[in-house]
Amino acid sequence: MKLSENHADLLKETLNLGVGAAADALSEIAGGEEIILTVPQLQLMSTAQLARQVCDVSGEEICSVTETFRGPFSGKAMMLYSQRESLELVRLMLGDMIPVEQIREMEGEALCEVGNIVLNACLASLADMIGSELQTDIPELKVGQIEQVLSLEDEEHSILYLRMDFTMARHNLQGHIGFVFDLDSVTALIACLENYLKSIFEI
Amino acid sequence: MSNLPELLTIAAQQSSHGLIVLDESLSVVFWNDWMAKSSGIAAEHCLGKSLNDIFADPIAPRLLHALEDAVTRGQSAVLSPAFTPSPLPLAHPSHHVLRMKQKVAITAFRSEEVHYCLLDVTDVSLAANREIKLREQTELLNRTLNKLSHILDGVSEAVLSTSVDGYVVQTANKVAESMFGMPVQSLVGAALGELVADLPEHQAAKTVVLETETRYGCGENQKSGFLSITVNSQDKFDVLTWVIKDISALKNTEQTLIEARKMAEDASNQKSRFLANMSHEIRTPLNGILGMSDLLWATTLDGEQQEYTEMIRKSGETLLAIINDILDFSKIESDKIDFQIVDFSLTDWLEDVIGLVRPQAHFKGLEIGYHLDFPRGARVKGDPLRIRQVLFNLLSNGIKFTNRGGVFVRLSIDIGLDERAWMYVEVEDTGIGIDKSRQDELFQPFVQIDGSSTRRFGGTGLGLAISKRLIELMGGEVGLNSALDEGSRFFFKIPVESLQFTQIARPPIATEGLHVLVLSGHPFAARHLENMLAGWDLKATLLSSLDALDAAEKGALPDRFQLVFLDCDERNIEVLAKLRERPSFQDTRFVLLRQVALAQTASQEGTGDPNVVFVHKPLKSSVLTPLLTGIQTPAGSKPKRAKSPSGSRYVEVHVLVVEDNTVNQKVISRILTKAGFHVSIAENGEVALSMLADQGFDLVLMDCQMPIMDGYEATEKIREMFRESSIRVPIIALTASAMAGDRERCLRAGMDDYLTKPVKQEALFKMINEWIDPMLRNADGGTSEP
Repeated sequence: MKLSENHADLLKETLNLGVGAAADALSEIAGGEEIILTVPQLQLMSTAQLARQVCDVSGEEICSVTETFRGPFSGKAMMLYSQRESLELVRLMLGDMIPVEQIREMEGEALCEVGNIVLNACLASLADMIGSELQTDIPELKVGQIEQVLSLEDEEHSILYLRMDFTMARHNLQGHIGFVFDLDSVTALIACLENYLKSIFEI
Repeated sequence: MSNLPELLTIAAQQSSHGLIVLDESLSVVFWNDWMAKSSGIAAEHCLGKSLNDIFADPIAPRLLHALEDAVTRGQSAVLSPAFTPSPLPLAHPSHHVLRMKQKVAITAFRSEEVHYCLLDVTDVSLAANREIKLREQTELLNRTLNKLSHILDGVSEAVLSTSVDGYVVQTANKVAESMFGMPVQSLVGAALGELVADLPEHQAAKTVVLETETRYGCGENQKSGFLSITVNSQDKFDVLTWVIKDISALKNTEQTLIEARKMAEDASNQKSRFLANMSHEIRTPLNGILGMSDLLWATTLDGEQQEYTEMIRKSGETLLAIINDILDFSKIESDKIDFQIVDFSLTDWLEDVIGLVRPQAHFKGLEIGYHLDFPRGARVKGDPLRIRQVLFNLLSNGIKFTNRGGVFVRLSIDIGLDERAWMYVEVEDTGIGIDKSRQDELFQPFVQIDGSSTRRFGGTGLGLAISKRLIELMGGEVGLNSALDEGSRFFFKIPVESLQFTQIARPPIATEGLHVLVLSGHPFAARHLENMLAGWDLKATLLSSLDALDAAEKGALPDRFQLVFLDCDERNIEVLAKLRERPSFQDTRFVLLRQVALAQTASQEGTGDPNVVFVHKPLKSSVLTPLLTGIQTPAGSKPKRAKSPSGSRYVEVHVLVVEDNTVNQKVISRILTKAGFHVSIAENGEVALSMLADQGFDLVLMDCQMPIMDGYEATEKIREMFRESSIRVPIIALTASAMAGDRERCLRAGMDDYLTKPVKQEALFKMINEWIDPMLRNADGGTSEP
């Protein structure tokens, strides 16, 4: 099963809507500071490819926020940042409210919440598009080498990968979002996309 | 087994977290014990209500959004306290004015197709407390850092810290910015070695300071200057601290000061040289004046002429004394004074000094006495001439400022705690005294207590200043006790080396049972006699007058006196006559004391009575001895006079005077010719050499500074010429130059002795006697007395 150009465009559009909503939510908790999230790149790839891709941009040391989702298709949603950038992200979000030394202490929880907001927004946008519901669990934070963080049993999983650019107060950070689908879930996703396209064209 | 839902309900009630379950309409369906306890609201008041209804205070919007998403979309969420510190308005567990910090996890779930959500509330206040504390500490630290950087920016030196290796700059202050012409951001990361051309090497755990003239700065802003660079390295920190300051201006000032000091020193040296030269120049003509007035005095003169001649001589001598003072002072000022340390007898030394000032005192009708507080015959090592100069000064001063009474000297040797011997001298007078407030100025040069007294009392005002400097140079101290109209007591002490401190053997005189009476109207004189007699273990009866003797009770005095000292001035003879009429004074020996100034008027000197002896005051210890032995030697009481050479005695003696100044030639040759010497004149060293080659001389008087060939060179040549000969002509230097070191120079050149111009007749004869006497004795077979 392949992701067609149309599918990809649709997904990109949908997820951009999602991260747009996420950016609004983040701006709100960051005390009104304007945050812009964009998804410039989207593709389907294998776990190994994902690892390489992330590694190329962010290096070996990774922070990830992962949450499980269930619905017409299920799997895990992940937001990944290099450790340095995740700290930078939290620091930018918290602004001058808290001294840098203390940010380290609450970095984990803060990052968890940021990831949760972004991922929930993306999933909500997807769910809205397919007219169904995607339930999520509470997020989980992992820190370490890329292989440990991904901790995927089967390397042959298909992964929907998005590169996400985070822009705030003239700072620009690059993160990654990955949706790891359970067996057949990619097929289900594409079927959903196909249905949606059809419904649009039929009207 | 109980049913599971009931068990789970109990477990959930007792959880250590807050647990709330909301239904689709966000109404509370479960509210556990922890929630009831933390909010103070029991479950029954909450069930069926929304959170907004339960709490009076508003719920965080972020929580409400998340709850909405949970029940409508099934999305779970976490709320971190970083962004939402207190999602629910719960009170802090210990500080009720504060809100409890909570972490809330929202889990969406479905049961029987209905959406629910579970709120899991965790109290993170304690963790937050720690954060608050950390925050406070961080703030304190920041404030401190700000303060420190403010201080560092305020100092006038560039302060930098660098790594230990490579001296890479880590921090820099404002001054460093302007010094190196770079902003702090550019300074940080730069190697200090590239900013300053010359750096000191740091040393572990030490501070190294370098002052160097070097280039510093960067590129166009490069400057050069004198830098003071301090680098400090500490064990604890892996960092070096540098303090750098441009001290070019300071160095310039320092250089200016050094030059100014050098100029001042040069000026001072020039002043000293000028004074020395001036005194030299003045002494030469003064020599002429004094010499000629001596000669004039010896010619036939009428009374008026004699008076004028005497005035010329006195004026000349006063001028000489003043010049000597100034010369001495300039020598002391330029540290050109040398001390000649020899051993000398304290008693002889003191009596010599007393002898010098005695005429002066007696002329004014003043008493002069002394007290020796040490064994007779004690000898010490020191510079007797310089100490004498000091004592002479103090005595002259005392006499000068005393019109009634007298002057008394006390001399003792103290052994200090450090076992050094100190010569302690005290000069007491009954003069006008000195007010306390003026005593400090007294030892300053050119100061006399009353400006007008310079005219009244004469002198340069240098005497005390010279004395003080001399004493200080000898390592001693000088001081003064005085009050206006109550006389003065000057004292000084000088460290000396004590040589012999035991009683010398006395002549075997039995003094036991010897009764001595002193009749004296002068307290100083009486004290002096008492001290003298005490040296012989004699306790004298001291009475002020004949009346006091008569008033004394019978039995209180001895029946007979073997020895009586009479010190009743002009009444001496009268008292003597009265006493001799009394039976108890029949075999008594009388010693009549008198002042030098009265000597000429005393006509009774030659009484012929062996039991009556006249002596001069103050009584010398050497005079006392023969008095006690009973050998009456009136000669002993006469002041010693320099031998006046008789013409016949020296007719054979041929003296060569080498002198370029014609006045001096005349003066010296007249003096010598009158005394019967045969005199030849050479106007310089070269002439002298040729004369010596032609004929023999018995003595050479050699001027030192002469044109063509000076005295030093001439002497060396003469000694060279007669090296093989058995004859060694005595050569006596005769020079107006009186600076220290001249004597050594003369002796080094081969001269035998040294006389300072202006030449005094007596000193010249004494010197010639000294060098010719042994020669004559050799020639005459040992008979020197005619």
